[in-house]
Amino acid sequence: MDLGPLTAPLSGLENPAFASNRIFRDVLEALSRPGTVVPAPENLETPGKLNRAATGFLLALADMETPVWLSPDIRDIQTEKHLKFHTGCPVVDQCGQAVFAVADARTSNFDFLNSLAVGNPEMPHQSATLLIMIDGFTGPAALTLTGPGIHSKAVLAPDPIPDALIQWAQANQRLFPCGVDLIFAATSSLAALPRTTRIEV
Amino acid sequence: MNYQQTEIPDYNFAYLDEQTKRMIRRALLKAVAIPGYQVPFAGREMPMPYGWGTGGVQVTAAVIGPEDTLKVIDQGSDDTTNAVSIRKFFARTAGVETTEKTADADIIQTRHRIPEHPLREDQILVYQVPIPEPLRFLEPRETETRKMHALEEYGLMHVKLYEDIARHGHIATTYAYPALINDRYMMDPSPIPKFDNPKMDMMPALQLFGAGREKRIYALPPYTKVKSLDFEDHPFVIQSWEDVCGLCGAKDTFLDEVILDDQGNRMFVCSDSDHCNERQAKGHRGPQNRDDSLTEEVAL
Repeated sequence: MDLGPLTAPLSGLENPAFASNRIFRDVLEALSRPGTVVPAPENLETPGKLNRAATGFLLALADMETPVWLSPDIRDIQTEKHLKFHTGCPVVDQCGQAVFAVADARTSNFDFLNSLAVGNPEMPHQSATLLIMIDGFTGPAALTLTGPGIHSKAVLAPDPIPDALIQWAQANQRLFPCGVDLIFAATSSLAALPRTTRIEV
Repeated sequence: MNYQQTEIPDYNFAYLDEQTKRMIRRALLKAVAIPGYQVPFAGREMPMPYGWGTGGVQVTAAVIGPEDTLKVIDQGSDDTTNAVSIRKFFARTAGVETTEKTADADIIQTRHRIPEHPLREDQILVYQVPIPEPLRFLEPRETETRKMHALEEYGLMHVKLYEDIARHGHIATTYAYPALINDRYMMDPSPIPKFDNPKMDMMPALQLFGAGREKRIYALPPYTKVKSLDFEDHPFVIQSWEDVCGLCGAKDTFLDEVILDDQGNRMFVCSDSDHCNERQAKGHRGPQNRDDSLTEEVAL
């Protein structure tokens, strides 16, 4: 494997025990209260095309037990080296093997969505978590969210939000208890749509 | 003590190593995404025996951060052995602040009770669970119970509750009362009294459950529907007492019976010690605590 030119690796999480706890708690908050926008870690070096929220998420939660799949448009040698160096995670070619899959709402081809692992009725937790990188949460179209974790109704306006992704997410909700959990990773913030959340446009 | 200022800590922050915490955190995230479903996890040996809350301790260790304030209760009480030892464990291995006040806590680890004080959105309740599988005593095989959950086949539990009615005239299950989560998964709420089941329904706080020996984690996101199983003609009811708390006079709390002597004398006291102390501090007095100024007359 060609590792490319020899360059000093970017630094990972500073003070990992505390930083990864902070990131996890924010992700936990986002997943248990769908539609809630939580901050991404500040001052984090990001490899290749990954943004801060996605990098922080992977550094905090990925390790040798979690195959990571990167959409071809964001996969490069620097990103791969960075993730392997800091987390030891395998970077896989087949998205069906991934525990964490990462794509970019602007540039990725979304044909892969239906190949992600959704678990099975006896083991619904053996499913992928999908990170979609976006710009922010001030998009023109707001999604209306209902379901566990939401008092009555929540709104979320990911920017950008491809139609293919919304349609897939609505179909994904109907697979419950199977399904993929979706994380929107913006540059400086993050929000989540677990498989339980019903989405109306 | 501030953990970050100690020179060379004996353990990693909050005892568990980072890889274990990541594994537990990933299980917690899946548990939150599938409310009421038991996620298997690679439970570790903890420096306390199974049955002492090793599941809850592992969940707390994965969740707690240096800024959090921890409260630990055992049967509602802050000062029993289990609660004291777990509180000290985290004070020592994570250097976190601890409290006995429900309202001051960020994370509350509990054995077999939900505090009487309503919980807020910014709090997390961590349950210690002995047997996470509600169907286990009806069907011992994991392969079968897993299939029953997959097929949403919960008739066996209704038969069990029906047999209660046939034998006793009412549903005799009083603790670990099974509940249906978000109209899908049947869940064992851990051995809390059924008195506490209604508090789980649409609770603003996040609820996490850890079973150490059985190696299962499950969760209830905030504002999630929790329906205790019942029948139309035998609706779910919680316990009630003719007595009031002997110390604070509360009429609406879960009461423990305390035997006072061998002459048949007894008293009832709130199981939630913090709630009881808070009421007494406000001047409420019960029938066995009437030495000084009374602010509330208790009708007996």
